Amino acid sequence: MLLIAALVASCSAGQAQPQSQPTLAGVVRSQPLDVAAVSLPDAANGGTPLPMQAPDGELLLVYFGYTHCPDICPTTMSDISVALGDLPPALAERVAVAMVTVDPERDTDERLTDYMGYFFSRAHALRTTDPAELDEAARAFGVRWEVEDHEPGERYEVAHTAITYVVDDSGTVVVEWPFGFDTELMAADLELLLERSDT
Amino acid sequence: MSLQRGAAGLAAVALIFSLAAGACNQGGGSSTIQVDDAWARSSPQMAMAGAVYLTIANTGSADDALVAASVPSSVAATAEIHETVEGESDGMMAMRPVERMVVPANGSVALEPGGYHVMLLDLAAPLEAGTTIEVTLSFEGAGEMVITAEVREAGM
Repeated sequence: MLLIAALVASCSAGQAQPQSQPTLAGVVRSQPLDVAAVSLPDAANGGTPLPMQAPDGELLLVYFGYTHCPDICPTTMSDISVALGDLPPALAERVAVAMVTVDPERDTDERLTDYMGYFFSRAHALRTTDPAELDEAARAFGVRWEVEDHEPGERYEVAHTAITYVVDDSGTVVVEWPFGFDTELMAADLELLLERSDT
Repeated sequence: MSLQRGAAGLAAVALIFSLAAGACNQGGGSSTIQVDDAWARSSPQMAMAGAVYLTIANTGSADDALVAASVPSSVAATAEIHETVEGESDGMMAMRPVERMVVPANGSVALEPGGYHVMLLDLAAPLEAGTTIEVTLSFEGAGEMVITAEVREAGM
């Protein structure tokens, strides 16, 4: 499915087919998710709740992960950072990136803020210690996670959905990128969405 | 990673490749196992975990297997071979420890993002771009081999 999406995008993003409307390379649902009602405390901003809705004309990228994750999460953050670096700076600065921690036990406010600040200049570190609040946010995005059974102080891992959600200024998830999504296609999607919001 | 890189980026990548390749031929001249392109991503100040990626080629006529990995305690408390797997029904990405990773005769196995990796647990210090990490790999047949992994800047 990813390959097909990539092929479709490479056809539409190229110089061919000037007639057709450019399409998003990522996954677009026929019934887009509405996450505007969700908000979570942003540790990068003193715990002020951040609504899952980008400011006017901007985009908010939301990812559920955890900082002890060695492979998937830093790869995704690094890929997003590459994609933002591919954009003209005037467009890149209209994109913020948020990680919602699925491991609030080990991801302190400080650790999560440091982690996100390492990858992005416009970073949000979303952390709640209220399981019901995290559950509600995850449900809105269709995210699943599972914390490995562990004794206090013991090492453990967290299995989790590894999708990046692109949220627009109405709180709608306009496109989703699975893990390993090509960074050039990410950049093309962002550019398309930001240009659309300008017209 | 992005496929579209400037000439400078390509040159840098090529340089890293050649550095990594040069640094990695330390496993003994007669070994049938060759490790190339070993790298890790630089990590945030407070990160506790990291991953080393590399490619293992087996030029011999018999299968071999990677069975253990270790790093100096100045890098991390423990290193383990892990594999990231995606749940079939739930789409969740999970990691599982790998006790024996076969490197087929006349074949190669890549440890790469989203798949196999040498997980570094309890990092002693952040992984800084431009530095290197010595990793000891233990193979069933070829024995122990010390390779050098280059730490590369995240987001590049």
